[in-house]
Amino acid sequence: MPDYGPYRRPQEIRFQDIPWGSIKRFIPPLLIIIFVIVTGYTAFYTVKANEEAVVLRFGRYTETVGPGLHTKIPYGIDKVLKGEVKRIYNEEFGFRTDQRGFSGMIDYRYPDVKAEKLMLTGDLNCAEVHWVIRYKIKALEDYFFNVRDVRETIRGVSQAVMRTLVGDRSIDEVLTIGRTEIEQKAREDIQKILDSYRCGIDIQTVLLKAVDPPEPVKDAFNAVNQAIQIRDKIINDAEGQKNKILPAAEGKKEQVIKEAEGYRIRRVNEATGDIRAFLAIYEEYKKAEDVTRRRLFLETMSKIIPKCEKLYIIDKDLKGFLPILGLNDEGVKK
Amino acid sequence: MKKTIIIITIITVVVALICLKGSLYIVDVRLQAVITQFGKPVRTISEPGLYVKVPFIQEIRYFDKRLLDWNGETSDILTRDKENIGVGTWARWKITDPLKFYTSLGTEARGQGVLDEVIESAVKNVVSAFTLKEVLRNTNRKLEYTTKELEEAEGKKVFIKMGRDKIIEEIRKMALRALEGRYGIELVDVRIKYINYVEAVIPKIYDRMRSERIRIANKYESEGRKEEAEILGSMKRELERIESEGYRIAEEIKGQADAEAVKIYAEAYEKAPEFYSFTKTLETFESTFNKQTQLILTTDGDYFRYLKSFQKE
Repeated sequence: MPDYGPYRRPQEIRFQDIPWGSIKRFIPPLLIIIFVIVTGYTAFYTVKANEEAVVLRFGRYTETVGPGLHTKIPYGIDKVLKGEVKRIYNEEFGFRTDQRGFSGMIDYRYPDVKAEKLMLTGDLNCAEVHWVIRYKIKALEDYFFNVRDVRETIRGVSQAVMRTLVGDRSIDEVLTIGRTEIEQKAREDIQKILDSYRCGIDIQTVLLKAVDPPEPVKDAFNAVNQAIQIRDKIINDAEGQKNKILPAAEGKKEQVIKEAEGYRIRRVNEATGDIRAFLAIYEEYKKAEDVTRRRLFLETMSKIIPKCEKLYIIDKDLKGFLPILGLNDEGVKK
Repeated sequence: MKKTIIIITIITVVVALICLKGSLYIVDVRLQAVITQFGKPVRTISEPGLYVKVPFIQEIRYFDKRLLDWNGETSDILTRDKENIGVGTWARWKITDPLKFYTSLGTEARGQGVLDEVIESAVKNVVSAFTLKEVLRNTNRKLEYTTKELEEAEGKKVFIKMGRDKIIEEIRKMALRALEGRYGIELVDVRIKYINYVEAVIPKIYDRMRSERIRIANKYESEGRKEEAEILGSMKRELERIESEGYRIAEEIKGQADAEAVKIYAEAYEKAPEFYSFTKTLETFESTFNKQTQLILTTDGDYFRYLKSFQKE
């Protein structure tokens, strides 16, 4: 840079006027200062708390360093590749979470995912499967050196594994009963395949989100659930009726039996009473048999004869009396 | 004179730097390189490090050493059981021989192109030789259902001879044969990423799923009715049993009671049969006579004996 003199105007400068001699003296130190600044600036780098960094010297892997301030040889000799090893990464399948909003809005109708989520189950039914995988970088060197597009690889493996698992299961297993098993198996299988690529990735979890029958058949699937409920209700109602009526009948039975037992007690008591009375009377009767007999007879007669409205006394010597008696109903009523 | 020396020195340094820049190069751990001289390959470098070449004359071609991606288009295939399905494959590959790769294909894009052809035709050939179930299912595991009815309706027994993993292995082998080691490519892995009925068939599948489910739903309801009838029937039976049992036991008890009473009476009356019949007869007179009774007595009887005579007999 030319050094404009304090009293000269730029257009008046001529090449031979520049005081080269004095400038020359400043060039070497200036260059050295620039060199030192550039070197210093490129010789240090920081690794953040959730990161690790891989250092390459002349393209060759030398070491992996943790968080902190580190030095390297500048001018392209040492190259530093940083990766967030403590971060948990998220991949979504069959839906996308809209990150623009404050709380992530789950968009199950994201246009690109239709083919991703519609899967064929082992019994040739269709199900819409939404899932999430969470993973971490477990070996940064492997992550950088072995696979070019790690994210795309994880996505592809995850889809292939999920489809294989769904294809080997019934619609019921996919929708309800097999969910945890699918999650576990998916995690194992994805991990196994990624390890075979030496991806340096650790799959933390595979989470099945909503798994639904496709929209057009949803109502039919619900109808089945409703029918199960209706069936259960019908059966429960019948059971309820049974459980109400049978105990009542049992109660009634017990009542009848108890009553019969009561009857028995009563009958026995009465009979015992009767015969005690009879025997007591008989004892006395035996003592004065004839008189008592007469008395009893006469007592009875005195009770029964007044009851009868008509009383005929016929002398045994009287003959031909019967025809005029008129022993018929009319006669009785008069 | 002094100026000339300085200028020459500067030029020499600049030229030397340019030559140095042109002759020194770094091969990254993630890369491998082929050095060409006038377009002709002279050597390959697969170990990372700092290397030297002849400037201007020799050129470097870098190739990735890592696992590379390949994503196939979904292709429509007719399976052996005449099901029209769309299959999307996905593969990972590697350039194992950069020299061969450079001479035969040159660029990664061409490599992708070769894989497009090779894998897609292998997928078509292999998948069309199997039934849909063979491709879909992976093992012979038993499909589980929430209820027995669903199992009966859905769980048609099929025997899977190969399964998806083995079919994929077939595809990989076929693709490998097609590659024949010509391109310096290693096909590391092939997977089926997408498999489903083709778009046009899907509404039909939905119809089938619908009618199947509706049928099952109806079955559930009629089953409920059946079970209801069974329960109510058995209830009725139980009811009859309980009631008749009650009757039986009660009658038994009553009968026993009567028998006991009879026994008690008999034992006592046997001691005085005559007295019993006498008193009992009198009692019955008392209870059976009423005002409608017409009593005809002769003077023979004991009662009127004194009406005719007071003589002692």
